[in-house]
Amino acid sequence: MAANDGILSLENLSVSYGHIAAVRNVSLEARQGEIVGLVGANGAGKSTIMKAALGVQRASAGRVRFLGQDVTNGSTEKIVASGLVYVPEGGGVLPWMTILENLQLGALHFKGDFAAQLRHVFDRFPILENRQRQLAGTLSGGERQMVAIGRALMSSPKLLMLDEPSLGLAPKIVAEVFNIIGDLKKSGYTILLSEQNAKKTLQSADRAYVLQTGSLILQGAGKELLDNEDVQRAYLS
Amino acid sequence: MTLFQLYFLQFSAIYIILAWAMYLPFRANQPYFGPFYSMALGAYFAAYTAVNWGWPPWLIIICAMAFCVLFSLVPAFKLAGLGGFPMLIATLALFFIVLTAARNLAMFGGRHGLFGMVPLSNTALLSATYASLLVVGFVVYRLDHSYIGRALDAVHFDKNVAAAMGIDTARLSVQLQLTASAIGGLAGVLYAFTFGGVFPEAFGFNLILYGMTILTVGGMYTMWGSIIAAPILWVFTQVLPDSLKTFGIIIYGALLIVMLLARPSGVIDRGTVAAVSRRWKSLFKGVAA
Amino acid sequence: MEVLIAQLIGGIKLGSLYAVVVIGFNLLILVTGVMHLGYPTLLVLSMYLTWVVLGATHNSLILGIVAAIVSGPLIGAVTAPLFLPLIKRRAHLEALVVSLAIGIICSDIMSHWFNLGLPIAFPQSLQLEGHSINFGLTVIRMGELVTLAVSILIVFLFLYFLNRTKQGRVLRAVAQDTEVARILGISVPKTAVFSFALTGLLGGISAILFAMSTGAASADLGDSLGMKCLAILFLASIGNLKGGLICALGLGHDISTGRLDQCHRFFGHSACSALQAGGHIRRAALVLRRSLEEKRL
Repeated sequence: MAANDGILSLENLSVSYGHIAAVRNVSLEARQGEIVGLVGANGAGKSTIMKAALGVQRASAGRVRFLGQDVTNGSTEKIVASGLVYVPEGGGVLPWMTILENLQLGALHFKGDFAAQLRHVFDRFPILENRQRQLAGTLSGGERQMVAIGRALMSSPKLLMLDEPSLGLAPKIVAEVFNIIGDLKKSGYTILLSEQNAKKTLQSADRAYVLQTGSLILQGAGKELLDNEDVQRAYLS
Repeated sequence: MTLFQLYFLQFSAIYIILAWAMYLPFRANQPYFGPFYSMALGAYFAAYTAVNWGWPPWLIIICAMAFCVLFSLVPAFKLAGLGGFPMLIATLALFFIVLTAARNLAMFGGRHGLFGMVPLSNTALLSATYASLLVVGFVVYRLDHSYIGRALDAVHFDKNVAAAMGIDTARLSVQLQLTASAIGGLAGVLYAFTFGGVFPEAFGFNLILYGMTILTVGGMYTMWGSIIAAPILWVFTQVLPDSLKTFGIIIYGALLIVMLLARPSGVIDRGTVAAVSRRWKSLFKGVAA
Repeated sequence: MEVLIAQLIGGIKLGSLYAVVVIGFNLLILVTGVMHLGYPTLLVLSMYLTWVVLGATHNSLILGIVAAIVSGPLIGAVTAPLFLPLIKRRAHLEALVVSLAIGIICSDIMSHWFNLGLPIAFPQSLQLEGHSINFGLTVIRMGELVTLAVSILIVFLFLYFLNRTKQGRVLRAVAQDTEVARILGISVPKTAVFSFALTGLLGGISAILFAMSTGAASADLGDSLGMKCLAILFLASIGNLKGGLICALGLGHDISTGRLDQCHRFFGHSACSALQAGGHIRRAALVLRRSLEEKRL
């Protein structure tokens, strides 16, 4: 796939919870090898967009295309198997399973060499190898985030959606998480990153979209949005 | 009056009373099976006191209801903070215990039951039954339309939110359980007087199925559905051809399952009651104008 | 001493039988949130179907065992769709009532359409009569030993399956968090149906073991079996597989050693078992310590 090919594209996507429109007419695209940022305050619709792309949340209008295929309101099982992986807010590790078991679950749809993939994840996160038999529920916030990202990498995803990976973490750990994200980009992963931490996101992202109460209000290169006065006033001051 | 007519009038009322006894705790999302074992307790109490001690009906009714409340008192306090599965399983176990005791203890006649109650005239029986129905209906209606009814709605929605609003959920649960047990006991007494006695097979798991079907089909969240469901379901089993009578339990079970899957709020839900109420008010205004 | 050993074997055998049934209960509760009160009756239905196949095949043991093992998952898979809509909308109370209705319907079917409602008896060949071990003055039937061995094997095989296989991990994931499981690409409805089928399989295996052990069944066997299993479930805390095993062995030992001799004299055996089980349940439910939120596999 060429560098500018869109892996994921949302076309006029709308999602409602009953009568409440959580996302209104949002169009965005994530291309091969880039980090796309989704910035917005709490309740802006970032998680909803990701869940709609995954088929977990039903889209009331619009289209979701992944790798050229229309996957709107499709089976989550099939979408994940095709390479779209989501790391939910808080990581979503299974607390009563060990680190290794969590990673094994990440490889549910992986057809390749499991041992090699596990080695790859452990090389990226050595701390997980040391504690692979430890219950995931006993880990710290930062460690859980590593497990969650490691689990997502186990399936060798085409697109990685990270939902607020820095939420609730200490500043030092936030910096670590963003370093990891940067490393993932260098390794060639395509990432859709949703964050309330606008500064860090815009610094890391190639392109970004700014959401407000379910609607897209701004889009552009990450660095450009960082200098945008409206963005600075709303999110960076 | 034919026996069929008498039984129709009697059992319709008795099962409406039983359904109302279940309705109160179920409304607060509390699966309390106390009315079923209370019905058995009330019936056996009535039969035993009438046959052995010759108590008058009015005394039997009062004492049977008090006995059922006393029997349910300790479990009520313990179950108040639990709800959900533990409440259902614990009360089911109590039902099982009561049933087993009734089947095996010689003083209750064992498997043959206890008969020999002095029969009441049809008029006396129906008067007592329908007076009880009206009193219970009034009590349930008043509870529904009072602070307690609103508290039940809050608890049904979310127990923690209700507690945060200042509702003493534990006390409310105890009150519901004891009220439900008392009403269940009353239904049992009336049942015993209808037959002139009791037998254990009348209070088996089929009673639970029957009661749940009336409540579910009629409507779990209003008191009005049971008034329609009870007589219809009772007549239904009586008019089935002989060849289909053996399928009675299966039909009830299937009906219960279908309603829970397709329309869990029952035939008459709150929306229906509200719509009928609005229509009634507009008609009344039209007439008044 | 021989009597003590015989009682111990009997107790462990009975307890391990209950343990297999309780595992089925726990599995469904943890994965789907459904407390299937009709499960013991469906187990008894498997026994009845086995009895029918034995009768039709001149007591062919192999076909009888196959009938039990096949009927269990079949019944589970067939009844699963009734629960799926309720599981989806987290209507656990309604699901419990549906399970109760299924149990009552099955009990009614068995009491009307099998053997004119009379209890059924299994052939002595199924109980391996004629093969026994003499231990002093005590005789231990081969059927009891086989039941004991198979039950223990099933428990360990199941624990292995749950902890060491991919599908076992999937079950555990759904049990812990259905939302996360879905996000990982696990089909929660398929897993729910699978858990019903697996529970049915455990029920089918339990059915043949009960048939070997007791030699008879009746339409209301499901009620007393259900009460005992619920007692174990609550004593061990819902969802606690290992605790369920220990409590099951305890209850089996309790019943086997006849601790209810005093009660039996006054009330009769069945009443005492029922009262004891009911008492266990009430005590357990009233002192319930662990809530369903702390569920884990």
